[in-house]
Amino acid sequence: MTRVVIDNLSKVYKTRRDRIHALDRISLTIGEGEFVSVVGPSGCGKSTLMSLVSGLEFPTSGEVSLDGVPIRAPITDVGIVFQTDVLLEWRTVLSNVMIQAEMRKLDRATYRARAEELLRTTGLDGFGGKYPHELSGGMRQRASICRALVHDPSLLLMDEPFGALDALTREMMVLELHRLWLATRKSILFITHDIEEAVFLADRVVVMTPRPGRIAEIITPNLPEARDMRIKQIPEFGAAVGRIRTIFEETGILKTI
Amino acid sequence: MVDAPKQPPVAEPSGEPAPAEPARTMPRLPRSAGSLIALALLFVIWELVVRVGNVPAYLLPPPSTVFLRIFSDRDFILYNAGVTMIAVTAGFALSIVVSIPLAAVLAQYAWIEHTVYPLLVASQTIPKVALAPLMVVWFGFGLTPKILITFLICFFPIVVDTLVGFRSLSKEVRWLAKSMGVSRWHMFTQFQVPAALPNIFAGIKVASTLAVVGAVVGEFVAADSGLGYQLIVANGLLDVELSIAILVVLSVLGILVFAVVDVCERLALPWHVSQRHNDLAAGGR
Repeated sequence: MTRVVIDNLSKVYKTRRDRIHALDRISLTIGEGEFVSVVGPSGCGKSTLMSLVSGLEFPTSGEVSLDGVPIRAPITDVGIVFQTDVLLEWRTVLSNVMIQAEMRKLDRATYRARAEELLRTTGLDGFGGKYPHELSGGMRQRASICRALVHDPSLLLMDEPFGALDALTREMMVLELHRLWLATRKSILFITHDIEEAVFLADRVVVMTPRPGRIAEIITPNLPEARDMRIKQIPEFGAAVGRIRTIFEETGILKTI
Repeated sequence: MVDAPKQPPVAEPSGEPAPAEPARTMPRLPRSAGSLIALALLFVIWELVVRVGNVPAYLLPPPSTVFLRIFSDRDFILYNAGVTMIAVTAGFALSIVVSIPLAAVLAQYAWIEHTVYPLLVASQTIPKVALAPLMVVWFGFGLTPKILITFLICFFPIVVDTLVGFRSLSKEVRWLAKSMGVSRWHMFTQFQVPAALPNIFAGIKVASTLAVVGAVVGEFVAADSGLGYQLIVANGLLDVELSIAILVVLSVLGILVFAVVDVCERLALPWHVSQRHNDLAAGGR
């Protein structure tokens, strides 16, 4: 079943001087339980796409609909992970996760247990009582992922969630996210500028090019469901990565030496 | 300071917390020790200059006699300090109670801010000292004009800083809140207010140092008791010793008000205060 339908979506930001064409006629679907990556260089409108799908901003033309209903207000059956962790400095880690339950008026006891479970599985066991500034960057982002998951949303939007992390932490987080997706089968829109990350995680990879933000191609890598880092050695993985590189080279985003 | 400086991503895949600060080798003195020593030094120099230079006491008495005077006139000084402190406390409290809700309203509706804020700024170009005589005309002698002048002096920094605080909420936090479907009330109480608290306290701290000034200005023109009034009287009698004694007491009162605010901030914002432990700006803006 198709959950998110993005239909001929364009977004133009008007500034005092000129008009910035952030997205140009984007059409895309996200199926039930599907993992869709969007990969592209900075300035290709990836983040704009996320803010339009979440209903936090509205398109200049075209439409996004969720489960057949056009999005006209911020959607709430969603977990959002931003580029920065957006933790509230005045709340402890556990309380940062629990704010979801509080604001949605969910049962505290049930969701507290769930929040603690999530912190455990993301390696934040024992850090629930700490304040965000006492955590490292990777731990902060993990806490923000817990916050996006605690209310069990059916749709997950992630905007370069691992962009600010070092390579090792990043690889571990990618594996964790993949395991999580296998276990829960949420529909995920995952935005990244890392080609391998995009291919590794996704059912389908949307390749975008900038100015204006357009979809160059949608690639289905056809990789086995359950993955680990060894998958990077199989030919299909290399083919998909190679294809994306070729697109970026042809459009002048990557230079061939 | 709300978008807190993130610690650099320390080597971390194993889930280690950020390493603790290296242990200090020097025994740690209370932070205030340095300034207390400097202050004591200042008094010693003052004492020496007056004694060695034979400065006549009617121009500049040595600090020792000033302190003796405070001690011998302690009932008189305590009584008048009490009178002044009533005006300080009432005016300061009034400014907090008025400024913060005002800033909250300004922050909620852009058009109100665009209308009212320029007027607020313009009103600050009027010297409050010059308003004091008018206050006497309108409200007579006594407590009311003192409280009002204290209020007028304190309220602006609180409004400005509080407004900055309410504005400091990042787009991402706003979006996060919206994706949870929060009500306007929750957006305000759970996101805007806590995010603004560090700025609110910064404004209150600035105002706390001005509160005593406001009360004294009020007492210059519109009182028959209080330290400000006694300062004028002592000046008129060329009693420099008492004048300086009163100045010392006033300064102590100011420090006291500031200290109370500082303690409140520590209690209210442990997450914020602990982040800037070595920040010199923390102590006095």
